Amino acid sequence: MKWKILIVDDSNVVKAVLMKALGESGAPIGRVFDASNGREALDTLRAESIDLVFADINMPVMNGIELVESMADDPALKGIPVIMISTDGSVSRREYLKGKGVRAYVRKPFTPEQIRSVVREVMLGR
Amino acid sequence: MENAVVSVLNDMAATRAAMIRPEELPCFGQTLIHAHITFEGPSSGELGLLMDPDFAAELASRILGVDEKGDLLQEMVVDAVKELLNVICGQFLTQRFGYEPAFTLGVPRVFPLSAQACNVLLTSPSILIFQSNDSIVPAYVRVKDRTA
Repeated sequence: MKWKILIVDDSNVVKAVLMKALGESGAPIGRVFDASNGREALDTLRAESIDLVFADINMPVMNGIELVESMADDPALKGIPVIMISTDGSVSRREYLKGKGVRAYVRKPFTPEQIRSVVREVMLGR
Repeated sequence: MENAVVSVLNDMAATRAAMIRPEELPCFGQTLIHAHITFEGPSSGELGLLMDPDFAAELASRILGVDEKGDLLQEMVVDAVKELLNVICGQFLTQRFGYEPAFTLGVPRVFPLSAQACNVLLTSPSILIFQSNDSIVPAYVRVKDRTA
């Protein structure tokens, strides 16, 4: 089975770099959806069966923290693994997001190797 | 700020960046790209980067792994410069304030700045000058402490 992935970031450059890294990761990547903010992401999550979400924190309209909070409050979405990708280095914010169910945190700038590693860790437990 | 700019330019865009002495700064004769971002938290402030449009296109092509910078849409070039500044700001805040405080970054803005306005801005004492590959990249950071 191939994984359906949702990338949530207001930067088209980050989306492009992340898609390229996922394509080179060797993971069974199926269709990749994208959203520019948390609100768009929730629409996609409710319409599609998404296996993994990559989300930025700083976004207009609805940021990544609000997205994670909304997912945690929705029984249909709370089990979907989320990997945060952000410039934010705050430990307290990371701990808060972890408490809301975020499975991993990647600091920008990221490398393709980091993406491959975190996807394997979150999706395959290794 | 120096470490944040140099490490992000080198790691994210695979350039060879270094800070240079202000007296090596040339007088700009063309309109530059001005990228600007604000931050709020225990302290607030702003960061900015200036660069010529050709270097912005080169940075975008390096970040995206595209061979020809001429193939990139202007929208992607602007997006790449915004993201670069966003990452520099995050790195700067961690280096300056550590890993504990949480900051909220504004949405980066990119706009043209005339050579005349640029040369005035470059007289500011907060300006740092970087050379990345063959291009000059002035940058600035202004921090306002809440307690001040």
